[in-house]
Amino acid sequence: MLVRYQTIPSLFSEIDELLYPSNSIFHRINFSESTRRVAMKDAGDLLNVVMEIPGVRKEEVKVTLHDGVLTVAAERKQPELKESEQWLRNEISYGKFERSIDLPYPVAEDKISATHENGMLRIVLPKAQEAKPKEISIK
Amino acid sequence: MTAEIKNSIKTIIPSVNIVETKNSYVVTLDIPGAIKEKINAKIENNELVVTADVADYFADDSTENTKQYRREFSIADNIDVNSVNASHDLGVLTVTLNKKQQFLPKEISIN
Repeated sequence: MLVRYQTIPSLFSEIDELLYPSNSIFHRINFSESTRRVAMKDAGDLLNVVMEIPGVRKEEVKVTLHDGVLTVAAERKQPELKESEQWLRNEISYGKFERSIDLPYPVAEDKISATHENGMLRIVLPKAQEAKPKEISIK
Repeated sequence: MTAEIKNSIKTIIPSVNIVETKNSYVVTLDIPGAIKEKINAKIENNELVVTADVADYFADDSTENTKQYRREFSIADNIDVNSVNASHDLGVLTVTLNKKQQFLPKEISIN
């Protein structure tokens, strides 16, 4: 066996290990929080959306916008094990997933751009003209 | 007190997969957002320690917090600590720990 499972807080993991000696749903619940998180930031004329998609190839990501809802659909392929190989721990979830986000403002649909680097998907959505902040001159 | 909490680095426990192959153990960690230069993997006191610093994209604008991925693994006796490789792609770090020669399965030829 390679590892004695260690996390912070360690007490929790020790108990975890006692109760669930093999990989269990308990682990997955515990760790799912660290993947595929989404953040959205209002940056004046732009909306920035960031999503964690580690292990996903560019070809496996699809970003769509429909009726003010931004949807990211992606797939993380499960590695295939050879006959002589075996899982010792499996906390990472594979397969297809989809996440939809309601946009708070109308955006210029033809000016949306997306980049993918180090497991992060970044989408920049310029706000539609009517949603941009306006300065009101004081008379 | 509040200020201290605000400036502290948030530790994130990355999800891990471990696969045992005939010759090695392959450890896979999800560390999205980390750039290669900020990833550190070392073996010390019979432990593999992996850390990676990243800017916290999810912190609010007023903070400059960073977060750190961190995970530790005890290393079994059958691992050759001089034969460890790591690679990084798509926000995933893969560490391959090779087994010592004497622990590898041997074919015995029958005369």
